[in-house]
Amino acid sequence: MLADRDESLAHLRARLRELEHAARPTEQPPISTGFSALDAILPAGGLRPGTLVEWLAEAPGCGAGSLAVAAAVQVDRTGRTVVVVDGQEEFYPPGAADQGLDLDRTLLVRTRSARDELWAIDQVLRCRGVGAVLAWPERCDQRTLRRWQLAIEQCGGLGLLVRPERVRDEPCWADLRLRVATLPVELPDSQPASSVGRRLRVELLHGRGAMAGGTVELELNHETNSLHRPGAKPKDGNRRHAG
Amino acid sequence: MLLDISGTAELFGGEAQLMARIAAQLAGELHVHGLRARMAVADTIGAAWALAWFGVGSRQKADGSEDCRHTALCPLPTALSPLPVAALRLSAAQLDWLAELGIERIEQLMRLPRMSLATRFGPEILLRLDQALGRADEAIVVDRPPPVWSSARSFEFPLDDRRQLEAAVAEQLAPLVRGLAQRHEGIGRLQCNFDCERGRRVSLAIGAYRATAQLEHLMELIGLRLEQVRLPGPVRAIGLEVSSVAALECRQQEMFDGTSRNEQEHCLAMLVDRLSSRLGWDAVTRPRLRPEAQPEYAWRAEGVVGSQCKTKRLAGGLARRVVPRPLRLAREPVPIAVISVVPDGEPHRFDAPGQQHRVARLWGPERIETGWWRGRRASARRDYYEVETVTGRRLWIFRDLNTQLWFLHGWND
Repeated sequence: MLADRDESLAHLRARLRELEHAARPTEQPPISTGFSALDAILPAGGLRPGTLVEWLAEAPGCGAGSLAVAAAVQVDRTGRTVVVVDGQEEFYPPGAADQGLDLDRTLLVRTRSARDELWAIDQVLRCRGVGAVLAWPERCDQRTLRRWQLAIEQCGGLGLLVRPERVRDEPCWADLRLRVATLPVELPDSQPASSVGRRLRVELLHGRGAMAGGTVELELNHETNSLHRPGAKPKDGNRRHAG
Repeated sequence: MLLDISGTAELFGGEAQLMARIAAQLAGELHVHGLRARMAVADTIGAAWALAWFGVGSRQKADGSEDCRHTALCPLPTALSPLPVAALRLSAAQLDWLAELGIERIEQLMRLPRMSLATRFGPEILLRLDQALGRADEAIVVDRPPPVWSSARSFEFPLDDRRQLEAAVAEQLAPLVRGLAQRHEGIGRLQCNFDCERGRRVSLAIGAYRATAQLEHLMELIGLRLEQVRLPGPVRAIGLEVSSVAALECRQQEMFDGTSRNEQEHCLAMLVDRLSSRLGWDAVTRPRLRPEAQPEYAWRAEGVVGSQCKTKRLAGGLARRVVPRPLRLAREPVPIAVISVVPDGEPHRFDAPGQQHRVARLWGPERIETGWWRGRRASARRDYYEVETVTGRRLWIFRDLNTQLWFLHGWND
């Protein structure tokens, strides 16, 4: 009896997801986030092309940008262009190259005012030639986000937006809203401090067609990050932790 | 300058008359620039060149200009033999070689057996000699200046409405684009000059990432630029000038529907044009790594508009670093107060503006000493650390070894 109910629930959920995405012209396979443990908690098993993804950063230096770049690297591997819209003039390409981003296929757009930044993001999202957009929009209103969402649905790219955590209570137009927080590392006495990677907790705050609340803990290995060279094959530097 | 006058001299009353007329025309123009004309008529290009440069018997004219005119009336070998070998249009190396052997005049060269000339000096000298003597053919390479694509128009009533102005520009641009498209060429750069009232002129330079012959696309770029400028008054005249023309890249139609690679690249080119029209050409860039130790100089933004050439990638990859580079770098290093357990030791706690951090673990130091050629103030002597705070945040800080002050330089976001 119970199995029957579970089955019909699963069936209904799948049907709901189909209905929600019926408007999408072509269903392309999802793009991996670069971390299989993170993919596992996402409703589509990855990031769907033609959608916006919001990474909410707890604080500067918490790792949300690294996760967004890791997703951009996955798009970059398919040979498509990645456009970085940098309104703060703080994006540092050597750091992104260390994470495996191929700068030959990357365009960097730097803007001086918030208005220009939003305009530039809008233009890039509307371009069919762009595989992924990476941006740090500080403030944008609901209309802008809704417009972006419609634009990217048409054009099939992936919009990766890194936003501050304080917007978590605002309505979400993105396909996924993921909150990234750091976890302190407890070091066993026997191991040297640098042998343990960086630990992050990613929480699915909102996902279309899925229950919110999935959480995963990732360990980003410092050493593998530092050894990434453009063109080198990445090692799967993440591990899923119990708990 | 070479002119082919075969058969035309009769129309001017003989070669001497023709030369006199050309000389008279040239003299006025050249005199302004302080230049002099030397002219010669001969049966071959080589001989005319030789006589014009090295012919003797120049006449000094009353105004001081030297006007050398020669007509090779005698057979070519006789006319050329007293001239130096330099008259044969040879390279400096070949002339040195001949001078070493004591061959100074063409007659000496002509006396040498042909076979040995070719084997000793290579085919060049023999070819030049034959060309001068009319034994080898030589054709004049015609210089055809590329057509100038420009258009200008002035209005009886000045235009002050943006839409009217754009319509007028489009009307003027359309024939230019059509003409170029017929030659399978497109506009790379376009200069738009708007003459406003009271004699003020506003010039806009429109650049395209890829040469384009699409009127709508060009008009969109012009529109974006017009949005940004304020014209000082109604426009009296519009001048358009195409300053760079390039061949259109041909686009083959894909048989199957879908976003093909070509279309993607086409869309991307349009995007780059739109962005750089509004944000400026230096706003849309391709980041390039540079082999520089100092983080601020380790990359540069390379403009994508106008420079289609691909630069060489750094050979051999980059050196392995002790500390990986952060994803975000502060525009200027932020001063921080650091507390260490031992004097001059590793950081233990630090105060960044508005926040206190305790260090849980760190990587480093990575010493960067470089840039002495940039002067003492701009040179860098720094110890970089990547620190992880007790809350798990990763920051990139350094100690300036010149001043012993600490700075926050980046966030490994």
